[in-house]
Amino acid sequence: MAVGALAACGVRGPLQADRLKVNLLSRETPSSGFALDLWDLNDFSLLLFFSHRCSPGPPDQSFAAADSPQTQHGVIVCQKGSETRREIRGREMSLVPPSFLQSIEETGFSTWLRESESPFAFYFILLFHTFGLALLVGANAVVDLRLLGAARAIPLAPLKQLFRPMWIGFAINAVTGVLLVIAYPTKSLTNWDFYMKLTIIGFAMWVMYRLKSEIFDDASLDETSMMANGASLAKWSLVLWFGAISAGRLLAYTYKYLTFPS
Amino acid sequence: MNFSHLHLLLNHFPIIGTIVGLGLFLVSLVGKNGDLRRASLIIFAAMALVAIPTFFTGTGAQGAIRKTPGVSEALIERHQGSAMLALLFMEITGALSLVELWKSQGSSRQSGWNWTLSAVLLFSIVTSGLMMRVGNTGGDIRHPEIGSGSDVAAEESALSKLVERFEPSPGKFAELMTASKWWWAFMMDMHFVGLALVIGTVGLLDVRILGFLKQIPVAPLHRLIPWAMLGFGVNLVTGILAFTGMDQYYTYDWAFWLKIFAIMLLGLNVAAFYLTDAFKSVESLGAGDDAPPLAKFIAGTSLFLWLAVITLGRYIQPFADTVSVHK
Repeated sequence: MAVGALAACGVRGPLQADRLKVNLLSRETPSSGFALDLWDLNDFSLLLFFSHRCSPGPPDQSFAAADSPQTQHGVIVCQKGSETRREIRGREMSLVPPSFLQSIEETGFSTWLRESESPFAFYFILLFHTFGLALLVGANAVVDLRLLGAARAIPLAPLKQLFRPMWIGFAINAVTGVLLVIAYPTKSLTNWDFYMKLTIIGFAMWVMYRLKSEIFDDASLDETSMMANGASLAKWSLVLWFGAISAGRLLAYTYKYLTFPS
Repeated sequence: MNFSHLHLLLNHFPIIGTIVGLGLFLVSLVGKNGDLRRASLIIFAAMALVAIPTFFTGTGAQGAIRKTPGVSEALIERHQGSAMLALLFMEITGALSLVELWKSQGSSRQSGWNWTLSAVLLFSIVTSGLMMRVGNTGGDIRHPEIGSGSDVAAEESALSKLVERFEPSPGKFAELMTASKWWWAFMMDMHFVGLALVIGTVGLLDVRILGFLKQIPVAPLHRLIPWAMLGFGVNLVTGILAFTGMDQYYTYDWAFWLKIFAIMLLGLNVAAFYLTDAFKSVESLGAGDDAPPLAKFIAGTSLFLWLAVITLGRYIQPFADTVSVHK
């Protein structure tokens, strides 16, 4: 596969390496299949899209002179043991985010969300994302804590009613989350942490669904068996929500691009 | 009204309040008076809350007078350092008081001696001493007539000098808070976790008292309050640390001050809940029972104020630099 990717880059010639890393395709074949070995987790998210642009830079004279004329359009990173060599062939190119991110960013709605001075633009969406978080995680945490033995005097059965506000919280955050991605598509979609957050939320929602269907919907369970059966789900729920909040907060500190690089 | 004015209005409360609270606490211990003891614990908790805006207004007050002739930057720094140490002890005293109030709830009679009472006694004595030093070092900034000479710092007693060794240097402390973006990210993360905990527990109690989710009895829901206090405690600590890290940023931000104001109103709200008939009237509500209007009003206010706190917190960033003062 690595060879195929090299061919797509228009690179010929032997390469002395244990592992190959190729991080872009040529302009001519922008979306061929390729195998990549990553050295930066941040790039991982970019590769999910299989569409990369090449931005031509000045030719790397030293390399161009030494290699065959067919060699063009490629940045190759060769790794042999612990040694890493980054070779630039032909024109200098850099990995850039897929252009559809730019298209989203350039829409009027995205621009308004991002740049408007109105208090009802970006921060309003962010506010409701926080309200949704409080509703979803707050209610779920109370159910978890109760299952784990906190405030035992609360009867468990009526807590089933809390799953509705949790779903409302989730719905609010799904909608506001999409709006936040529309406001900063490059920032979120090129950040590995964003995919981690979605994954953790996926698991947390799965645990929440199982809490409802296996513990609260089972009328045959008494309180003791609800607690016994639900304890490990409740623990996982708390851990996963903590992880989801943390991954969400980290989005503000881990992004590679705030907006599409110009 | 400016920050100096606000700082001077507030700063006598935590100093004198703590000393008065300590006096009442000692009397209650000697006289074995349970009601008085609870009153003094409530005073400690209230002073712990009021100490926060008092501390926060200090930065603005400093900004207002630092250019004034005769005002020494070193004395301000010394005052700020002493305030940071006193605030730490004040918050611990307040937290311990709440723990003791929670443990002894429902019994106005004198219950036995326990570790929380010893801890409150110890911490309130230390806090009172530290508070006096905060007052003195603050007075030195603007009232040279109280001291005997111009070089007040050099004339300190041995005890003051000893205490000073434990006081953080404000500049270094701020640097510590902001040196690593991961530490900052961690504090903000915990601030959100605390938020979820508070809203989950207090919000649920409020919503139930307002008449939703009526199948849940109220009294057992109240057992979740320690979790709410844990969440609030986490947010109080991370909030104060964040402020000390970027005090200039928060000081000139309207959303920040309104948020602090809303938190103070929440303090009054809690007092209204527990010190009126409201709490008694909902304590015994079983499944399906409706709360009286006063309790509903307090619960509604609480819910509104918590949502306001979240809203104002979220708007701190876009409201940066909205407080215009002649800097």
